[in-house]
Amino acid sequence: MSDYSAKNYETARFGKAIIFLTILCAMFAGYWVWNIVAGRVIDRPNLLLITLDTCRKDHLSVYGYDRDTSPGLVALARDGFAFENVFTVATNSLPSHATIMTGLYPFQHGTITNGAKLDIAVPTLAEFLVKRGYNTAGFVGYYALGEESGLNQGFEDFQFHKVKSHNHDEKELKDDVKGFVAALNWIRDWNESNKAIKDKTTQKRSNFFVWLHVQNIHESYDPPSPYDSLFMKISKPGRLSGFPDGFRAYCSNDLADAWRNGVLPEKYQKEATALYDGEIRLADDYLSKIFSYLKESGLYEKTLIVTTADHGEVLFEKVAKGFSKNGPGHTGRYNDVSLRVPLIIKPVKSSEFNVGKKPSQLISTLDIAPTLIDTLGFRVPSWVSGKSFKNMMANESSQEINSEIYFQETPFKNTTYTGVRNASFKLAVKKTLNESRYILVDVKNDPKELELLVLEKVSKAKKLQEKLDEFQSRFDDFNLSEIGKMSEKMQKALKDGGYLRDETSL
Amino acid sequence: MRLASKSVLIFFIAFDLFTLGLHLVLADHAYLGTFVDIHKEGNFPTWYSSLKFTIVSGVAFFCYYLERQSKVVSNSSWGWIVVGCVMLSMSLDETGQLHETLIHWFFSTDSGKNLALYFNAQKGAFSLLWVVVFSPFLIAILGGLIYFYNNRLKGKRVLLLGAFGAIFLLTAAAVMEYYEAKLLISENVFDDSFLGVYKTFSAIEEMLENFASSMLVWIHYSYVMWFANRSN
Repeated sequence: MSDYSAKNYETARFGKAIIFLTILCAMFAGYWVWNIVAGRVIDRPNLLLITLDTCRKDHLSVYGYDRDTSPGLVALARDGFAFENVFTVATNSLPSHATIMTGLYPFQHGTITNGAKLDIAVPTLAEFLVKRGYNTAGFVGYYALGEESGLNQGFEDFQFHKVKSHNHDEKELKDDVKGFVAALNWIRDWNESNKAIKDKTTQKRSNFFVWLHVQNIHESYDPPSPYDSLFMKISKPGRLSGFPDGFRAYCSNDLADAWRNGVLPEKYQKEATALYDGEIRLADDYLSKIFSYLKESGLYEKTLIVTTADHGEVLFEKVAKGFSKNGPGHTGRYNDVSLRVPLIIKPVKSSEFNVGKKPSQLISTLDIAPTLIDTLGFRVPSWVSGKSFKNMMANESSQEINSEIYFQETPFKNTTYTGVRNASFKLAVKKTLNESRYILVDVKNDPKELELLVLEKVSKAKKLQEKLDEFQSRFDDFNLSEIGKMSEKMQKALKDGGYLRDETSL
Repeated sequence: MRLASKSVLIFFIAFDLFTLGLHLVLADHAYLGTFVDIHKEGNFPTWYSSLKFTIVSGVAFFCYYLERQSKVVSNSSWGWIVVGCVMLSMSLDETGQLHETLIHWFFSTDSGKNLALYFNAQKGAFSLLWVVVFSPFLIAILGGLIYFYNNRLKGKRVLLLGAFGAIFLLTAAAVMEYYEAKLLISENVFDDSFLGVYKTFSAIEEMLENFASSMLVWIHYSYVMWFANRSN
């Protein structure tokens, strides 16, 4: 073969290879694009987020409580993870929920207490997901979390189902479970219509994000029958020595007045606790109905289920005098019965995880939104302050998530509570116009927080104070006293909920 | 002749650098900025780029004419027509933003919505995701160009390497456009650092396209000169 023919031969061979490779690559790209535009490659999980308002972690049997308050959550935790050390950022419902929904601190999202309104410019989890094709629905049981709060941002369907707990009237079970029923019906309808869409075309248009806020556990503790006598027989309303009017164990105002005035016998404390536990069991039973439907319909393994609480509750624990008020209520602000919350996450395809574990890393409710976004397969946005702990679940890592976590809220005008905790200590400060009062607790050796330490005498806490000062300096420029004008309806709801008691309240 | 070909390349590359210089110096200027900003459409850099693709296209058609006239090289001369049409469409696209219009229409359809969902794309990133939608066609065009130039420029080592280089630059520009879309899709898009990275990517992509079109002008021109000399 001459040089010329050899060159021609090489050129032709190269040309054929190019044609072959081009056709192969173009076909591969075409197949990829076709699958994307036909919607066949999007297979993200659904998300069911349940927030149990005012639910103490230590009153859930899933965390070892001796009453059988949460068999449904026990079963859920068997398929997932029950986190041991999760703490809320705020002990009032709106700022806490806003943090769960945004991954931001109250000074960042601006809803510093109940009655405020989340600014339209603040991005929420629901907005994030609805923009990415999720069908979104929210079901709330308290007016302060309703549309006026701005938490409806991003929800295509947002429903408020009032729980009758604050009416003290005779009531039926069906009155208190409307939120659960509405959420279950919504999921059922979504599933049916989604099936119909899938039958008609090959396109799978979306997933769902449902947020169910459970208000039942919140004071007053007055579950309807049979939950009112599930754990203890409750005394009928009657006279109580030292109490001016007729006393009702299921009335939060009566309980608080009697307890704070030192006239509440132990018997009534036990009864109120049994009623509180009855509310938890009611919620658990109705959540179980939703979980059962998800299992029956095949959605359970495709749904990321997250159960947490916005804050805990002070029952009959004594709190630091002058720092916060005694309960019952979530009045503690700094103590762990108020701050510690349950968190149970059931991942999708749980068989691929080593489930049933109880991770003990320090986690903040600030971390929930980024973890959910990450677990759903999206990139965590930079505006989120929390940290994703998805990898901890996936890799069973014992790596630390947070070396310390913070809390912050302004429940009353010109009164701000902030705090920081690490594995050993918790430092809280109450700031008013006139003074700053510190509280230090050795949470490692004194988990019941029986002894308050003197900050100046604990050298190990010095660094914690520096951290807290640094955290506080982040919101020095923010006005944490103005929350805008509230509607009369909101004011009434806050009064009913025990949030607006006097003129010093916001 | 050889000097003349080189001069063409040097002239256009120098002018490419001049447009970059204008962009760097004047892009933030209140009145002139819009006119020289290479991130923007319908201004001096766009028209300049469009002009080059028009020249490349015109010379390709002329090559076809030459080959058909001389009958020295007769096989697959129609390839020049295809190349001419591709380059002409690129020129029209530069000034008319055809792919942007097309892709915005596409994103209003169900298929487009699926694509947006897949990439988590917001509106800003739509116009850059055309690379994904048209990727099969782009691959076919790039493969076709490699095949054709390999066939036509065999034995002309420098020109062949130049052609492959130009195709490589065009491919790199398309890949960069895809990554610009990914940056815009990112939730961190409002960070100053990300905007800086995006603008750098965009400037590099525009310059890659500019260098590629300059090289194609040089290659086509050189081929004409070579062909004319050979015929003589």
